[in-house]
Amino acid sequence: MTLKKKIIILILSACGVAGIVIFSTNPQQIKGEEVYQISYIHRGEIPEESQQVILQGMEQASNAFNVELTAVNSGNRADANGQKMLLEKEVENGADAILIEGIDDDGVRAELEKINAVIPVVEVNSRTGDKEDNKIIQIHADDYVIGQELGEAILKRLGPEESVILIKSGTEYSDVAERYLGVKEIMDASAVPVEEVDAGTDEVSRTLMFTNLMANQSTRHIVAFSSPEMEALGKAKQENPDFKDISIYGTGNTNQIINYLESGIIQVIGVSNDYSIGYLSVRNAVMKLNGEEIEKNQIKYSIIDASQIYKKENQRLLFPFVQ
Amino acid sequence: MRLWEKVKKSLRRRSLQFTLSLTFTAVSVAVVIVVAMGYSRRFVDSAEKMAINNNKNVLNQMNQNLNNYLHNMMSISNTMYYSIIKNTDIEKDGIQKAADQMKLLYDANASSLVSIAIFSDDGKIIAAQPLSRLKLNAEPSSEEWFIRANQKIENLHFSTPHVENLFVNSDNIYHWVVSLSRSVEMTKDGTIIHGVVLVNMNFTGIEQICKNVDLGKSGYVYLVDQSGELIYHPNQQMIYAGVIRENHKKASSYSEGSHIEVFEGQERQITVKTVGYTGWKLIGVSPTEDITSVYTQNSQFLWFVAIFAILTLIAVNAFVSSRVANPIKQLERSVRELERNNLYATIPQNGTYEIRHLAKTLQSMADNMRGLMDDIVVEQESKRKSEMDALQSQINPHFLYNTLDSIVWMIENERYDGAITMVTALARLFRISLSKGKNIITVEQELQHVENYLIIQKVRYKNKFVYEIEAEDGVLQCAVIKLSIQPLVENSIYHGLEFMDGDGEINIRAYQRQDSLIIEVEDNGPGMTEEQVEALVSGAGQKNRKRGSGIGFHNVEERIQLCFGDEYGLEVESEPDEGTVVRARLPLISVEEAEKRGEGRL
Repeated sequence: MTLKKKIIILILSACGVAGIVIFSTNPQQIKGEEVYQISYIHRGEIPEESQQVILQGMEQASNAFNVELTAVNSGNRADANGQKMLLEKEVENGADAILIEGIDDDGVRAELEKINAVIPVVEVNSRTGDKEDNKIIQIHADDYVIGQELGEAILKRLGPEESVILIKSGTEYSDVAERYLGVKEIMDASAVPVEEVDAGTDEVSRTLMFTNLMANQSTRHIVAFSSPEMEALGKAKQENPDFKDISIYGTGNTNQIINYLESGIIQVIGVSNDYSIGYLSVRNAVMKLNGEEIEKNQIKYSIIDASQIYKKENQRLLFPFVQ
Repeated sequence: MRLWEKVKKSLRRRSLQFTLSLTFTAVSVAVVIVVAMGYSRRFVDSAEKMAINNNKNVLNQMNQNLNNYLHNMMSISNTMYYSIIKNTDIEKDGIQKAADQMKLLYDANASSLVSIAIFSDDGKIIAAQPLSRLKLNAEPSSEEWFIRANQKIENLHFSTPHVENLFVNSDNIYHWVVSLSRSVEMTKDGTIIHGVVLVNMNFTGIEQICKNVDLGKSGYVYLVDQSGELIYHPNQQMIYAGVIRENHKKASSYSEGSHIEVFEGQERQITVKTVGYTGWKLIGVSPTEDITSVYTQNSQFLWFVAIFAILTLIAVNAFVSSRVANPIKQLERSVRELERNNLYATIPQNGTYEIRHLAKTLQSMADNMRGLMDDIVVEQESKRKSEMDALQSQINPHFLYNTLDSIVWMIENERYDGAITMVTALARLFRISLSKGKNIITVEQELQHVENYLIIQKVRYKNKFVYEIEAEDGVLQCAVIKLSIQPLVENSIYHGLEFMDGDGEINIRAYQRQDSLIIEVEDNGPGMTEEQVEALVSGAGQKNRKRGSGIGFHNVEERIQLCFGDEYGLEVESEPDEGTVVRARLPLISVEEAEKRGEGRL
């Protein structure tokens, strides 16, 4: 067999193989889409209602960006070690990215930085590093400003010589801590006496403590910085007509809180757009995974009293469309 | 034209196979490309048309569903108005009757409704279902739906989505609703009063209609009112939050049909369908990228197949052209062989009928030529042999006559011994002349022949000359043409010694010089001038064929050259009054070798 014949046979064979490949391949199947496994580590044992809104935002983004989302938690709100172990476990389980409401703790921070070198980490709501730190993606509202504006709204309602009680719990998370600091700064700047109360984490003892707190004659204004405390305060006030003159302020966004706000039990709330936070967390994680440039996101927020609940913008903030 | 000429010129220099292959391939590639382009264009057109039609169909279907839904809501409103309110005097019949009927109506449509209510002209609640206690801060008369109903009392009014905010709900559930409101006339104690009927549709109903539509990979549908306010969008919450942007304000101004818009750098196919009565618009959005990706994939596949087809055609063309051209190339090679006088070249008879026929004809022609050539060779050989025979035969009669004449003379003079010697020598001479018909004999035999001849001639010439024959041993068995030296000796006797007064001498020497055999015949006769030598060598005197014309000399030379080639022959050295040396130069080969070489020649 001559070389020329060999070459012709070789070309024909190659064409044959290529033909089989071509005709056995569906052109629609040529491009497959990658599904990313993303883990969301949230605070607390079960997501609070406001966190449910974050989760809903995340789920919508997951549908849009082809993500399989897994929500996990360490069981204890303030357990930094638990979070670290959970992080390691999720990375071992093959997560493509981690979304976390991280406890503001050096150990957690170090662990996050270590993981961030391998897979994208997005800090949701709470952050472990400095606000301007760009090492790890942060998605949160400007909680300090929310605290300040809430403080301004409280100031307008304070009578002369009246003091304010700040419920200081959950401050291991930066969002709570900053809102607290924002309010405190405004109070301090106006020389409003401030009393700090640690509500602890136990729900039963907390309700009792709030009842006792309100029963104190000097208590007129209470500020809480997370939904469970706000709901517990509202409940305590609703159940006892003697507390009707006590004003409750705070941050948090649950239907119960809105109901308390609407019915005058809670006076003013600060609300950030949690749905956006959830959506953007997933979107940014996917963008990082795809090597795309990540934009700086602005999270909307609002300080709302009873008369403003049904303003168009506030409706959209308080009652997200869940699709 | 110049290019075409260049191409033609270039192709003329190329082989048939190359030309065939190139031409076939160029034509097939051009055809495949044209077909692929045509199909690709059709893919694009049909994909775009399909996408537009699909979007239109989807939107038509959605529009129909939405119309049904809205008509259902309008039917509820109509039922409330014409079946409940018109038939009730709220003063005489009491509100409870209307409330009970409303409850039935609500229960029948609970999945679509959040609430239904009747308000008085000043916004006070008359009846409502399922809840009827207004919230503390609720002010129905300041709500947009209420105001619009009272502004255009003849119309039904659909609001944009909003959170239902009128009734106390102990479950803390807040519903997104679209409010349908209208102004109604009620009877109160026989008097007609105005009021407003409100039907709060569950937004989920609209959402269910609009979501899960198939407008391609990332296509979607949204709903806007006449002012461009979003009623439904799959990313409504994110648009409200400012995370995602939509071109809904501009899209609300689009006419019904298909449009192309560029929004945030992305080209999109927009299909618009107006929802009857409400003036809402269903906007279908299909990124052009989605549509193009379908036909890009198909086009890629098509071009992939085209490339595959081109490669296959190249291979097939190469194969076919080689099948066509190879027999012609073989034929051409055979013709070249024939051109090189190789008439024994085999002409392969492959390929198509025409080429086989051509090859057969050529083969037949070559065979004929070879036959003719063979005939010519045979004829030439025969002619050459005849010539040789003629040349040899030129020697014999003349010599025989003289010898026999001498023998007769000797017998007449009773010199019997001499006659015996001569007859014996003559007999030997003829024996060697015969040599079993061979033309090539050994040097030894030829020298014996020469000696016999000299013996005879010496008697005839009465011992007027002496002779000496010398030969190197190494050359004795070499080949020499029979009777090639004897004529030279004869010339020496006739032209060198015949007219000499003193004793003549003839020396015959055979020896090897380099690769040649030299046999020289030297006499001490009168010699020749340079002109005579020239005339002898050039053969100028041959024409008269007389004695001394040099015919014997040329016979020998021709025979040597006929037998051994032009590089061999005779040379003459002569000086007047000194003598002459004629030197025969022959190849130094054996008889067998000479016979082998001479085969076909002699």
